[in-house]
Amino acid sequence: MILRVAIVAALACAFGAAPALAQVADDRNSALIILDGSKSMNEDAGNGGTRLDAAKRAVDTLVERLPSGVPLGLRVYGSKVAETSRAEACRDTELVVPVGPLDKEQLRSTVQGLTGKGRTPIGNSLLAAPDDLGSGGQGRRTVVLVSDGGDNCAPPNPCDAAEEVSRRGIDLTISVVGLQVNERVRRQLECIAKAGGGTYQGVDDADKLADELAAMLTRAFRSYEVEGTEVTGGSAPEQPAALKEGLFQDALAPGELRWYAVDVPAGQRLLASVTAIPSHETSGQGRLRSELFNPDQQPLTSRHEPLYGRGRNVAGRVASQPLAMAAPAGSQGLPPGRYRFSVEVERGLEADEVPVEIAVQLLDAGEAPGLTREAGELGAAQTPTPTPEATPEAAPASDGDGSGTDVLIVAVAALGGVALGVGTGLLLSRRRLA
Amino acid sequence: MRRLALLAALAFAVLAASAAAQDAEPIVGAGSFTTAPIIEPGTYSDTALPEEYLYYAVRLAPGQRLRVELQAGMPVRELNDLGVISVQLNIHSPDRSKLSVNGRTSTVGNDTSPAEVTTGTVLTSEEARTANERRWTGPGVYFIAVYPIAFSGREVSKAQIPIQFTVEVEGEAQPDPTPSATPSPAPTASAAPAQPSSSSGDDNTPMVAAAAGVGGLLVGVVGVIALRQRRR
Repeated sequence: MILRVAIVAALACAFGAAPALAQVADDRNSALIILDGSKSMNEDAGNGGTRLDAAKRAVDTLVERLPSGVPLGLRVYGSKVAETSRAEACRDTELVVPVGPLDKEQLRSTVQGLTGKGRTPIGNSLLAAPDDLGSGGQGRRTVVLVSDGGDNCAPPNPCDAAEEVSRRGIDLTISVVGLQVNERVRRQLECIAKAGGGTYQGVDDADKLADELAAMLTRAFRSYEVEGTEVTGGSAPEQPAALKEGLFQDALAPGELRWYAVDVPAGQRLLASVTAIPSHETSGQGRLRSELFNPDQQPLTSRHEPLYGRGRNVAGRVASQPLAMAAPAGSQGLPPGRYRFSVEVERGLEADEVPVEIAVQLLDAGEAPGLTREAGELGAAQTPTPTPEATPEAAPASDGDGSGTDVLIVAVAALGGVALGVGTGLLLSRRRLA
Repeated sequence: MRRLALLAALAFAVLAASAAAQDAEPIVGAGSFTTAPIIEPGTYSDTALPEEYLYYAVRLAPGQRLRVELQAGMPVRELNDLGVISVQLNIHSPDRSKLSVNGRTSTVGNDTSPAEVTTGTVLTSEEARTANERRWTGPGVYFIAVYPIAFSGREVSKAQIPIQFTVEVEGEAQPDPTPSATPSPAPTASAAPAQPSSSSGDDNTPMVAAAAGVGGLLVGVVGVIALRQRRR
């Protein structure tokens, strides 16, 4: 149950409900499903259908859970050539959905149209996977093999093929789901997963196939996706980007310092955090610095933390630091008003820019913080739109517009009434005259 | 040859870990704070790639403490062979500040003691709000972060590292009373009149407009009739 909830939450949260997503690296993680379409998939799965039916239902469920557009492809083996022709049947492996932005309907209809026919050329299918996934980009590549049987086309030996594939693509792993397999097949599939640096998961209950498939693909696509409303911090303290409660994202070049502001009413306490997420490819070493000022421009909090690039992971790549008022606004030294903070990614990191996530919470008395989507604090509608370089006068101006509209309505009604009255009066007078 | 030995060791480790993790609930950690699944106390199993961050979240009430114990599914020596120094475990408070860099950061493995981190006892919201602390120590959503650290300057193998962790929430949850007192009188006083007037303006606009219309109608009728009578 936890697995199911976590998968749905992870998929929905990471991709679906986010108001705006930016990739940490330019290139996203991609994945290829290799699906068994051999004759044995026509066998009874013990749940009222065949194993292929179970696979079709699993892909259906997966498609519902996955967001459109994630880079996913599908290769199928054994679904076209009957197993009687060994040589031909062992070449029966085809990339039926090229790896690219997921078209849910295309994937669904392709899988629904499969029939179980032939042999199980796992080794040949694995050897084709690196080309399917391509070698460009910085994202991780994952192969998820779903099979109910072992390879019966060797050579190539599937384990050797997995190892060769793993060697060819440094960022490629192979995980395997074994559907109702016997001991001998399980050993072979486990060997493939180990050689491919992935995991093996056996599934005996065909109804659980969707969950296992989704778990593997969740891991395949998992990375630190920087979330929140896009905002560009101001270059000077007098021109900060005005933020409200919610999650925001910016990207700072090393050596760049940007300014943000939050209006804090009396009785509330600002609880902000700044998280820098250098991409996996970033090298070098720098620091994340942030500083919080009260409305009187007095510094309240100054933080700095090392940011490590690839290969210098002493303390980790992601750095996070809080910027919190020590007490509610209205306390000593903490007047209500506009609090400003600066964020700087110091020179040293070798990257064009470093994504930064800024979480802003304004706590009322008795309010418990925690910005996660599952905690219900980060619905898309709840994320406010920032007003970059907004002045404090911006908010009253909006109120003024509202009252102006009211006055206009009353004036138009009064004038209309007078006009109608004049017309009626003239009509009545003429009748009397007549 | 070395690679074969490494893969064999990894295979053994994964098998051993899966046996050890039989009682653990499988879970898929998230890649960021905001997408972290909220979990209950229990024992969980997951896998992590080298240099990958995994996040989980736990709600804590006043009076409670969070304790997390993490074990990797392979000995440190084999982690090292994969290019991983150790698996780091941290807890972040709801403001994402790192509560503790684990005293024993060189985590885990079957041949070492597990990594362990514990929060302090959570304060009430009001205590935390006025605690004069620069990080949040009150109730809310706390984060568990797991991170396999890679050796500097070495090639890192792409292999899923099995992990198992136990989440314990110690202490009885205490009520989190909301103070009824208004925080600061001056702004409240100035805000109070503004609020009703603005809301009443919104509600009464159609009524005022209608009254103005009727008034205008009467003025128009009476005015024209009076004008005609004067002319006569």
